[in-house]
Amino acid sequence: MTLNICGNSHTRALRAGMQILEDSVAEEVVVFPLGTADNEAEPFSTIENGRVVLTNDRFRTKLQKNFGFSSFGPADRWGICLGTHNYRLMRSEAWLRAAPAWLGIPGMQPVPEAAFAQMVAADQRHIRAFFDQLLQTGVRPFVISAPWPVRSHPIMTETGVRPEIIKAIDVKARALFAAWLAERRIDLILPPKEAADEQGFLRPRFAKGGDDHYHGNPRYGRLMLKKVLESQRVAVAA
Amino acid sequence: MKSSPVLSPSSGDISNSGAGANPYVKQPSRAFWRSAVSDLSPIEMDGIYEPRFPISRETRISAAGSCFAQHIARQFKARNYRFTDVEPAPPFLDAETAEDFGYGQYSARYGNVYSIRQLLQLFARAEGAMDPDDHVWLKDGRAYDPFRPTIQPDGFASLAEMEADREYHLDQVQTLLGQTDLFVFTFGLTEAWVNKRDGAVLPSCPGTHAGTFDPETYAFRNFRFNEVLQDAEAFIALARQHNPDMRFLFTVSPVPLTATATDQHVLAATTYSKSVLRAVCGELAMAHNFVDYFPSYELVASHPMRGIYYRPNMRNVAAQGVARVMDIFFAAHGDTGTPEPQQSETPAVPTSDPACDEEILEFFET
Repeated sequence: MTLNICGNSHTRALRAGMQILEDSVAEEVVVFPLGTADNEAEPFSTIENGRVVLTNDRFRTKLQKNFGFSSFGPADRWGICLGTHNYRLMRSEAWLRAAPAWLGIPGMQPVPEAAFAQMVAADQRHIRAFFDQLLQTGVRPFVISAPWPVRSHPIMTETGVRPEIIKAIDVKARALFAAWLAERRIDLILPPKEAADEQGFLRPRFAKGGDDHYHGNPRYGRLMLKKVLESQRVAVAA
Repeated sequence: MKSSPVLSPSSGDISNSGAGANPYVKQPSRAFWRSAVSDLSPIEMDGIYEPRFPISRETRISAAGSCFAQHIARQFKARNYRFTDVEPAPPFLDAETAEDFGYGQYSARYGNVYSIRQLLQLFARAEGAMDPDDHVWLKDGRAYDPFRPTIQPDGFASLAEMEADREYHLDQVQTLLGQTDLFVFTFGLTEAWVNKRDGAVLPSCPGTHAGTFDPETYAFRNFRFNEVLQDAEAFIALARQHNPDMRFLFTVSPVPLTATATDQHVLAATTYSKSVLRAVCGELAMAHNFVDYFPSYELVASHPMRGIYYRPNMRNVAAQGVARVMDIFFAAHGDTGTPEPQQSETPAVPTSDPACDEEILEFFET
């Protein structure tokens, strides 16, 4: 059975990784992005006739064009890269004056853990709705994380938010999402540890670089995809 | 801002009879029950409030008080008055989360302050002059601030989180009076629970929202007129140390007690409580020309209003009642506009019923 991998723009690195690994992979694996993460901020899916269809035009078009599917069905295998693009949570200059409470930074407005959890739930509500719809219709996907945050992001380098705040936001948001998925017995594949520097940011050798402060490069994609394929017991020749 | 006295229609016969002038002759019609109350329906009555001093959109306004005070705070904000909030919600929190976590109710995240003693102690704690024995209440593995037991759902994740939050909160409260031109306080209750050791007033009885009630530690107090007056005078003096020109607007909440800890019927206990608080407000307004009293209590709870502004439980004030009361207030200040929609850049002002810590007492009725 074909393993289909789709998701937001972080899927592009996975596709580049697949292009590197293609000849080493024993099974058919199809990898394409559906669109950028800003599409996650609005409802993008619904159930029609017992299958999940994408109501976001861009997502729906890409699904049809690249996978040949108009909807998600239980007979297919899906890996989905959605839900850990946490820059929406980080991208506020309010973090110059506020900090996650569990960091215990004196002089900054502590954001209680429970309030943060509600904030994450609000940010992810359409993504969570999508996964609940999939489960409801008999599709059990696994979820692929976006890369670790990129240290060159302007929220740190220009706005001046402390890196430890950004990292704490990302770690907690991923953990909350992972817990939500675990309640539904959906696996979440985190990025490889070797892709992170000492502070937990994406190592520059794995970052796309230039003006791109979000994505992994093909080297990252290869490393991450290998981890994904191993988790799904898809053999990759050495 | 007071109106000039005019000949009262009800005194015309007396003045023409030549029986002798008396002060009532020159009283305005609003001074007479028949013309001001019994000849009118509740929604026709006007002139109930005449401001002592103006409030402009440049006036820096801070507010605290019982749950009814949340309505007042919301209206000032919705009408774009210069409402001070030294502890606003981080802008990345949505309105619902911000409301759930006690942001935006008042001028800092102190929750409901039911008595003036509690208010005084809040500022004493902020100044570091008071460090209460009640440090934390633990319940089901969560930590609760005894002085803000409902400030966030299900308490704080840990003692450390609560301590950090409270430290930040008190640091912000410490700056509040220096940023205030007008302090609005709604007196709520005379009944309170205090720690016997240090006299700290708690906003709710230990053992209700959290904490454990121990009669060796906690005592019931039903504050008396002189005590409330003394506390209010102390607060005024404290506040005017920060701003010698500060003015005060006092109101009494029309919301009755959910339950009384006295041996009286709750109706009698409520009447005592509200009477004491109303009398204190009257005394303060008579003593100081920088104190104004807004009769929100009379506008809702007095018998000519027939209780029409209450919900069927005769306790919670209906939204229409709140709107009417606030329209009267703002119209008296020359503001007849309607509250403006919230700006999208800031968390929206919540529109649900105010969080009222007292309501939990209903669950203890057997």
